[in-house]
Amino acid sequence: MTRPVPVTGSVPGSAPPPAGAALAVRCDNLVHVYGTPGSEVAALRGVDLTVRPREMVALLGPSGAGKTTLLWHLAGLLRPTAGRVEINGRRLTDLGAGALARFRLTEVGLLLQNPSRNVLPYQSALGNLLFAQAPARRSVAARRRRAAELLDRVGLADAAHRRAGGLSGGEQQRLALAVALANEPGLLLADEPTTQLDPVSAAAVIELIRDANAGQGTTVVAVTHDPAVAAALGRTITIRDGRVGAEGLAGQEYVVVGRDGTLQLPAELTDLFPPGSLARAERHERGVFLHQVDPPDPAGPGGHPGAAGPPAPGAGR
Amino acid sequence: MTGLLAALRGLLHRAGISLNILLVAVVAVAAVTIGPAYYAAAQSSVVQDTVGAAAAPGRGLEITQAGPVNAVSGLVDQAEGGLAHYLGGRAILTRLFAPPVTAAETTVQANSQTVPLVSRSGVCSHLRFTSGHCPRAARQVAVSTSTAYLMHWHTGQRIPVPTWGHLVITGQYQITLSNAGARYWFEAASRYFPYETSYGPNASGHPYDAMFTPLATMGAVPGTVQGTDYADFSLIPARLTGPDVARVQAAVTGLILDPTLTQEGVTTTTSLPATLGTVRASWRAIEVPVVLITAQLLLLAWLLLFLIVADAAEARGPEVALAKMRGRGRWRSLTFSLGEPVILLAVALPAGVLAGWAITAGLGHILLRPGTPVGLPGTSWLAAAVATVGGLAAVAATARRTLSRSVVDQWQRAGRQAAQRGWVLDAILITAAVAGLIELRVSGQIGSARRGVLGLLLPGLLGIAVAVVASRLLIVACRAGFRATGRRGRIGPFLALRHVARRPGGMRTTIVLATAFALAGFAAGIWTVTVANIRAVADARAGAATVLSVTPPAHHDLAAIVDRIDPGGRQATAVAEYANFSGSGAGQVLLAVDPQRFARIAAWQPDWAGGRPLRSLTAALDPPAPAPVVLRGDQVRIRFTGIGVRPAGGTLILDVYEQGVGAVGQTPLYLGPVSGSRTATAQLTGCPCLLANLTVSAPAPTGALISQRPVTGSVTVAAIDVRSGHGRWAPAGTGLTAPRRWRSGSTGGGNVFRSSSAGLVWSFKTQPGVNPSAVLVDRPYPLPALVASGLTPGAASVLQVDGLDGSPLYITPAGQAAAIPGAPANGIVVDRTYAERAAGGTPAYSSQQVWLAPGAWGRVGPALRAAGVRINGMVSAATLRAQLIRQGPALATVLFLADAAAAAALAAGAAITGLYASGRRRRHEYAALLASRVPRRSIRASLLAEQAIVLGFGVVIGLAAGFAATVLAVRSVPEFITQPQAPPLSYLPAVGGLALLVAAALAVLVLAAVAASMLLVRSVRPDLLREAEP
Repeated sequence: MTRPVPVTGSVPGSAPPPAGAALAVRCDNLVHVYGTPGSEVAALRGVDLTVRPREMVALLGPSGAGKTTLLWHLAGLLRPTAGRVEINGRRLTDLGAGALARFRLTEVGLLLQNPSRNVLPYQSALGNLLFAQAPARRSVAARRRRAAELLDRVGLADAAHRRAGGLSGGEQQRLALAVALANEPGLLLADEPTTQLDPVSAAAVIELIRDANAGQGTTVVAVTHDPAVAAALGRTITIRDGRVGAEGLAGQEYVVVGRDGTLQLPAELTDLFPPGSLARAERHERGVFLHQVDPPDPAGPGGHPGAAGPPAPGAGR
Repeated sequence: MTGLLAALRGLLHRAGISLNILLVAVVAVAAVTIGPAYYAAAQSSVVQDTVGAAAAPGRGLEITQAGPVNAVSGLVDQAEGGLAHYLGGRAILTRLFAPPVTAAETTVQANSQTVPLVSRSGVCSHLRFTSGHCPRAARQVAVSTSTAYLMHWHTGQRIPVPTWGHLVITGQYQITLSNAGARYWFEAASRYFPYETSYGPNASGHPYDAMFTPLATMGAVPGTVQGTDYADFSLIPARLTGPDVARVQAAVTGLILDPTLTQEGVTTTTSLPATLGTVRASWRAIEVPVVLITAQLLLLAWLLLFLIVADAAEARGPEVALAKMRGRGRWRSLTFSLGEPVILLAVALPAGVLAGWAITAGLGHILLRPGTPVGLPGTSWLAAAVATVGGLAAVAATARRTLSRSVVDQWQRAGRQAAQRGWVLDAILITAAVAGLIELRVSGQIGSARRGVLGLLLPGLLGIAVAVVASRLLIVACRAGFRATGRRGRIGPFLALRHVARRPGGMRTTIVLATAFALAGFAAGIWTVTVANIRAVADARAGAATVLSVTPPAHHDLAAIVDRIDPGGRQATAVAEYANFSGSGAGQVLLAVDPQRFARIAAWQPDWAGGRPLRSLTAALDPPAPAPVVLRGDQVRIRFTGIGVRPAGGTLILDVYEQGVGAVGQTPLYLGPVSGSRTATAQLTGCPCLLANLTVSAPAPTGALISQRPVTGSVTVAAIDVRSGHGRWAPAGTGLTAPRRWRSGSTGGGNVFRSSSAGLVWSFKTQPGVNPSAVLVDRPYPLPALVASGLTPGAASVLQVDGLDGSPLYITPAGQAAAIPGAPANGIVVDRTYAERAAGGTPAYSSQQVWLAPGAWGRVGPALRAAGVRINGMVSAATLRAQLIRQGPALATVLFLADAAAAAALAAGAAITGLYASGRRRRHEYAALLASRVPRRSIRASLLAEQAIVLGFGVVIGLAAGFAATVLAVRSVPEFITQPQAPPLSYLPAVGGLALLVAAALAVLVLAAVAASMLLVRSVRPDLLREAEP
């Protein structure tokens, strides 16, 4: 179970941290509903999440679970329907458009799922990096130095003057990562960073993310389906049906109890409790027993709803 | 700099759509530039044309002062000074006006007759000398051949003139009718040449032609000799431009009202204000349509720019989203977003203005007076700037929409739904269109003084109203079809209909396309009508492809010469024309023609005579008639018997006239008392002569000029014979005693002819005061004629018109036509041979012409010259057409067509670009379909169908609305400054030409649509699914 982690020295409305400083992330009961009146879809149903500075977290879960929506919230690209998002103690909902733009410029690096969506295809690799830094650094020389350094780090020094649209998918994603890191963000948000990449390119991208974390202490939150990415990032959070369903830490999987007491069974146990099945929860010394019960026949003799039966096979702690 | 480079790279990356935006912007700017530039050029062309075509008083001014005849120099200096003052400087005077022609006029007494004596600068080059030379020294004069004949003067003769001493005749001159009409004379020809030019039998004026002398003669007489001094100033048309009109107008007014000149008795005579008024009227005819067209095009250009820029902004959405995602602020995102379209507009402004100027120059070269300068007035730049600003506003509006959309919305392309305008706007549009139609019907012509704004906007309003309603219906129909194709599982039509029904801006595209093509259809319809009517009017006014005014060699028949040059009768025909300028028949034009040749060569449209070909009308003009009787000899003898002629004492007169002189040269031969049997003989002089008629002249009572009693009795004519010298008498002609050879020539009739063994018995009983007259029949009487409908309002069977000699000619309409070639509203066509017999030959009063078929000039012209025929002037239907096309209304129509065509091209280009861009954004969808094994041909079919529906619908609906507007408004569109009386104008658009236009437009669009679809489909591949959705 994740718990809210107090962030030392951060209070709502405080000044942004210096570039490169690791950021802490916190979501409280985050709800997001898409759509128009009469056609609404709840993507997030009360997400509680805390990520410590310098931590690397992988958001897992089936398609449509709300992972990308959560990521966009962390980038300040969406306004929550309810709940709040705090980055280093600053509520993003309190920031205006300009402050949000500055936040994204200086504190967040965002890597989108599709490589080509992260870059201007008609610009060179170098041009893309200069473009990403333009609002942040006034000196062209400084921008060029930083760009060269990044290109070198992602292994694209030789491709500096090649058109981004002409790079391979892997090269584009490495360039996209360089672009995302161009302004030395404290928080790197990556949406499926290795999808559509061959294993070698995927490994390179993972390595670069780890380097950024290790070198600059960048906090990383990545949406992924890739077990390699999940393994590399250490902590995993599984989102299901718009809620945090499970968390993995140090190789162990835990279910997460929501603030209303709900919890989601691990997928491998769901066959024991088909949808609509009844279960009895009984307090135990170190937890709760959950065992299946057969629904009583309301018309049967002596029977009444809720009557306890023998424990179902497999039910237990 | 980096930003500019990035924007340029972006433009290059989107080369196709960038080029399209650039083209649309360039065409939009060019389209609105053309109107003002064309108007400025047309102003110059119109003023040059109008002033150039005006008679001398209409293109200049004559300043006169009565006083001593030797003071002409002083008058010229004074006039030049005044004119230069009011024009704003001597440089303008010398630029606009030719050096003045000066003259001093007085009269002298010679042979006890008053004869004008004139000194006129440069006169020698305008006279043709038949003997001697032009006078060079004081007291030398040139006289006309007529004056020399009448006064019995000869070259070299010294004429005693009181006060002047002697004047010496150094030469005799002749002047032709066309020379006398030259502007050099400034209408003084009627004073100078009353005889030589034969202004008509009833013309008043001095009976003697002027004597011309050098100015030195005037200075050599005492200063007491009074006369009139003249200074004639003429504008040089080729140097006039639009702004000069106001300048000249002010100068003329200033000169007329100048108090100093008025005090000194200096008067100014001019028709320039009327000419300049015509110029302004022509300008107004262009002005209103130019403003209207330019304004409509401007609005359309804005709409189109908005459309295409919106599409371009939509296409750049992901990049702008990327910029925003990367933390670019509002301003930086705005500049990033606007950079590319602003660069395109910045390039489009000068390029469009240049293109507009080039198109205007091209149009001017074809349509305007040759040599008309085409510039770029300030209004052109202003219009171009306004169009560009509109484009920038469109850019800003679309950029604002893109910027205000959230990044996530942008990725998901879940844009805000455009607000539904509902049917309110449609209702307003339809109401305005109907109101415009009513306004037009009630208030008259577009561009007229009673015009109404709604009426002016009718084509655009009707087009946009139809377009809006039809486009809404298209969406409804597509939705219905979408469901149907969905049920049937046909993927191609399904996708096409779905995209048409749901594509944002789809309806906007059809509306703009339909409106633009409505304007184009209207303009094309009006143009075909205008061109056809201009052709008809020019053809009718000219009469034939080419009409030459000629002077045949002396004593030669023009018709015979033409017959020799063109024996087949398909290239040329001789025509004699007599125009009546006075009396009740003023304006009537008699055309004496060879009916068969005329039918082949004259310009004709069957609808001028109820669908009848010209030959069927002219066939009735030359029924057979007896040949004229020519008296060849020097004596004529008539044997006759007068019986019971009362009142007694009457005289028989035989009228003859010299061949070629005409009825005015009729000579009466008095044959003695008309009582009992007599053989009378009379001398013939100047013959061969034509026998004309016999008259019994009743004696007038004492003290009276004519008898007031009826004349009764009979005369039996046994024979009319001629002889030369002392030779034998021979019959003057055959059948002269036959009754059919004679007809009554007396007013009121009363003559009866019969034959008897004694010869022709002529019985008469006339009305009081009328002498009996028997006219020899040598032509149909009355003469059958093809008459302009406007001249025969009643059902009169016999009309009196003026013959070729100006004397009465009785005609009977053998056919009527709404327009007569050569004299559309007031022409009368008769047989040339009979008309000449009626006139006794080919009188000098008539104008001799040769009408030519198309393309005949090259062969016939030199042949005529070789035959000694002098060609004095030429009018061609093509020249008249060009002049009419250069008038304001037609110029406006051309401008409308050019601009509407540009607008249509613009709209089509924008629509295709929009469809292409929209299709390109859907490439992922198509890639997914390909991956799902939907055949590529189905995708191609769906794209083609989508483009065909949008483009085809817009074009067809637009053109249909345009043609409907043409039918409704065509009569209200001015085609001429002054509506011609004839020929009747047709208001039916040329269906064939328009069908061709529609087919061409559709073909171009289909090709463009096919090319765009092929390009799109070729670029779709399943791999795209691995890439980002645009």
